[in-house]
Amino acid sequence: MRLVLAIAALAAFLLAMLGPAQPPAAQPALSAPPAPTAVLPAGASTQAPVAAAAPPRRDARSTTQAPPDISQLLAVESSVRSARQRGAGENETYQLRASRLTAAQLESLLAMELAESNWTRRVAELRAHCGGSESCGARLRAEDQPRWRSYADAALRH
Amino acid sequence: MKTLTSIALAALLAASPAHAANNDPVVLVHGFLGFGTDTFAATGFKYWGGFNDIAAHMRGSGRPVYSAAVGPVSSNWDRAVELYYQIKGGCADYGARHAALHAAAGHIQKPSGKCWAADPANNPNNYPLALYPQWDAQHPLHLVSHSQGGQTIRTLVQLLENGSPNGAGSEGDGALFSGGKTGWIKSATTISTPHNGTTLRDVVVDFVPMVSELAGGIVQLAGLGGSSGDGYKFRLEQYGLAQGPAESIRDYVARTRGAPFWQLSNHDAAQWDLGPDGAAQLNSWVKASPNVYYFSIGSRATEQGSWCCNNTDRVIAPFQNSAYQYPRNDMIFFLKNAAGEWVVPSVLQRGMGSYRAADWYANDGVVNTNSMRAPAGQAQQPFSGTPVKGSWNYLGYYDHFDHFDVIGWDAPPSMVYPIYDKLLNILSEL
Repeated sequence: MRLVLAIAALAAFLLAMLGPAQPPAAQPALSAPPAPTAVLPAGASTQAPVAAAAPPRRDARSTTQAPPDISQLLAVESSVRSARQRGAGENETYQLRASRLTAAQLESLLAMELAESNWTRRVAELRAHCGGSESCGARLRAEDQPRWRSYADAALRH
Repeated sequence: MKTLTSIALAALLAASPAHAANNDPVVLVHGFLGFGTDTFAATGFKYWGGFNDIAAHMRGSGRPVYSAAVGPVSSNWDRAVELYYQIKGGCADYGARHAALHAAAGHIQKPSGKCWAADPANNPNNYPLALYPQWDAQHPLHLVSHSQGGQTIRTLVQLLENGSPNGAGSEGDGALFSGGKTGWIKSATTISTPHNGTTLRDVVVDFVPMVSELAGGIVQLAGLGGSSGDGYKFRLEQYGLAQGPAESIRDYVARTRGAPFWQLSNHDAAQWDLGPDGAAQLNSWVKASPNVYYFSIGSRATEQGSWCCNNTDRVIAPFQNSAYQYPRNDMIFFLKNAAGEWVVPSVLQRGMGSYRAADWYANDGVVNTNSMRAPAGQAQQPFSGTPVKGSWNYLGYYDHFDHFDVIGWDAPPSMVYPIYDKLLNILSEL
């Protein structure tokens, strides 16, 4: 615990030394090139952050295109995490989200969480059978193999 | 049978440090905000290892290993000077021209408080002892660095061999600026170094040193007491910003925060060298030496965006874009906020995972993975087992490792020590 606190303080220090404390610049009109392929499930809000893409090599502040509801979304999800950590059930977390998010956002979150849950279960099964090596992914369907890499053991890559 | 016995014996000998091609010492050089072994000695927390001990582990091979402590927020020029004198002994001379160039910010060429004794039997001022006073071409070193330490050791090699970049004599008579010290460095290894800068410097804006509370907090949380002053040191004597022996970090920062050193306009500071523009400026004169083996190692703790199932933190980034990178669940928590598409949650601006250009997006929470490979424009190739001198031998990047995992801060020994075992095996054969 002491290590975590010490590291947290050091990181906060690092961020303070390198940065922030000023409010973001005013939001410029969206003039970015077409957004890269989004991977939001169908029905998700077009105001979700996936809709924004920044032109490269510009000032990070001046290219801020975050939709206004991103902070709301992050705040809600942070609340949901806290609620779950203290043992809240699905009804409570549903209410937390439903009271502050759009129906499309809510639907997308539920779909994402269901998929994550199913996938996590498959990962656990795979690990139980053959460990955490990347080669274990060969047992998966082709479309799932890239996903497995992010769950496989750490590795030196080129 | 005889053949098999010979092969087994050869393999055994090859694995034995006693039969390594060299047993030259290693000097470990820390990065931005790093610290020496004395800083948190009471708690046992080390820059190189956290509660692991990388230096001790490396010494297990029978090779001397030293941990240097240079300015944690200083420029690479200043850090290289300090590194030289700390290894060799003597009092730091930052150079006449360099000091004059930054005189407006208060730079001093030969400050007190930056001396190391080469001879313990002749140390009337009780200076700290130099790490390896016999250092020369007949007694070369391997330098191993993390983060900004990689820029620092490159700068040191450049100055050792070529002296002042602005012509002989321009920096005065300091030993480091005369050049000609070829062969003093056998190899230079960089781990997670921002050779071409880090976009973290751009996505978290302004150099606001709220160091009083935060640095004091580090010391306090490390168990040494935040008000004792016996902890974190900024080592800025060259700017006339010496920390009093009884001065707490909080008081120190409060006293010095208005000093020109802390301003963004001061380019003789880490905050400049770490950004892409500052790194490019450094790279314009710090070149790879044909006499040195260079190795680089990277790290990455982000994943490509996906609508689900990519082991990233979904609270920070519930909806993701496949064009961008997002922090993994196992990235140390305080680095996550700036590593992904946005800097969250307090400041709505682009994060490292979506800023600048696509090849810059992958990162370890502090440095862009593509910046860790080699300085732009310098010769490089993947390490094939046969190192090439004067060129960057890229060993690859450790995937699922954040910026502090590679130095063992929050990682088990089984995760961190193999990095250094692999490296030692390579260095031993040079």
